[in-house]
Amino acid sequence: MTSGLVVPADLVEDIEGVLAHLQSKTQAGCILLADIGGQLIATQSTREDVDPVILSALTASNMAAATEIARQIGEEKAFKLLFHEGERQNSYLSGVGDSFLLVVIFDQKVQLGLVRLFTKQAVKQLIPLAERFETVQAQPRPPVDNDFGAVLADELENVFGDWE
Amino acid sequence: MFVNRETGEINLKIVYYGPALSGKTTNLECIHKHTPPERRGNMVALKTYGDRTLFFDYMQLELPSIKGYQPKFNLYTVPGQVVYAASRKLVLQGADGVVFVADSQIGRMKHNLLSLLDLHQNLKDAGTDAKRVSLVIQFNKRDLSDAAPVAYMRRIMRLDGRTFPVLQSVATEGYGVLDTLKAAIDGVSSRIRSTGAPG
Repeated sequence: MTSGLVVPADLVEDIEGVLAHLQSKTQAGCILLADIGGQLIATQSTREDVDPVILSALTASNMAAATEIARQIGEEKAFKLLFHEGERQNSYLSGVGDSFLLVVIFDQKVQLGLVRLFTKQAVKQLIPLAERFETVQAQPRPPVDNDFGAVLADELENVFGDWE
Repeated sequence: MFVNRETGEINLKIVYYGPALSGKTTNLECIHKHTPPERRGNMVALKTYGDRTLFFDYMQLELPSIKGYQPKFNLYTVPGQVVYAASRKLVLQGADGVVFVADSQIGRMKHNLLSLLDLHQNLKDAGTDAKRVSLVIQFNKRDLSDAAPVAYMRRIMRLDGRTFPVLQSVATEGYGVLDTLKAAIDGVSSRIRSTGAPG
């Protein structure tokens, strides 16, 4: 889980590179990497109608429910993948290590076998990057100082205007 | 907290916790309703047929950029019903702040206390250092005729001597909801300032 993470730009770029490659190979409409707490890490998408932030939160809960199902039926580890087949759209969820999830949204024109193949390759590439995520937690400091908190409070006032 | 230096986003997670039917979803619905559309995402609600929260409710609140960084607050509720313990644990993961929504009705004091203990245990189980999570308490439903006195609620919930902000609200009317959110956001930013980068 990425609680308290300040992620260097080059690491995000590397991850986005893997997602972009996966998208070019599969022609998937939306690909994203999230952590198991539902935090979106990176995305590549041509689907403006799909909100990757919401998808991340829902996917994490989906995977958590599946993990509990696995435990209930005697599976020692979490399921490696979840596939949802719709009439027009499909979603393919893969675990990346223990703390991250890769989501691929694709339509019926894309072959499932292709998605399986290239997603598996992408997961292999993402695992060492995900491990780097978990080693960068100590630094650098977040850009939050006393002034930041005061400005934040002012902005809240501005956003909510006349409420109450 | 998740800071993406490439995009300049600071993502913070605030979870509304509390016993069943205390008004957690009502808080979120109220915030969503009052937030300008350009500053919020859609609200996602995973409900049962009885209109009770099954997994969570969720919305994102964006504030304008500050010093080149854009704060984004991910607001979640947890299901209050006892049977959804697993969902509560999941949603608490990575929380920077928790708003505990207590039900002021005199007959609900035991449920408030049990839920507060459940929160404490779940934070412990998740390996989350409770000191890193900013906590705000909201006494909701203050308009009801059977609302318990504030001092009594503080005593029952063992809040005396604690430094958590305690606010009163009538979430159905929007009263106290924004103040609670402000206190939660203020608590989260203070906590980050005082502890530096977590890890």
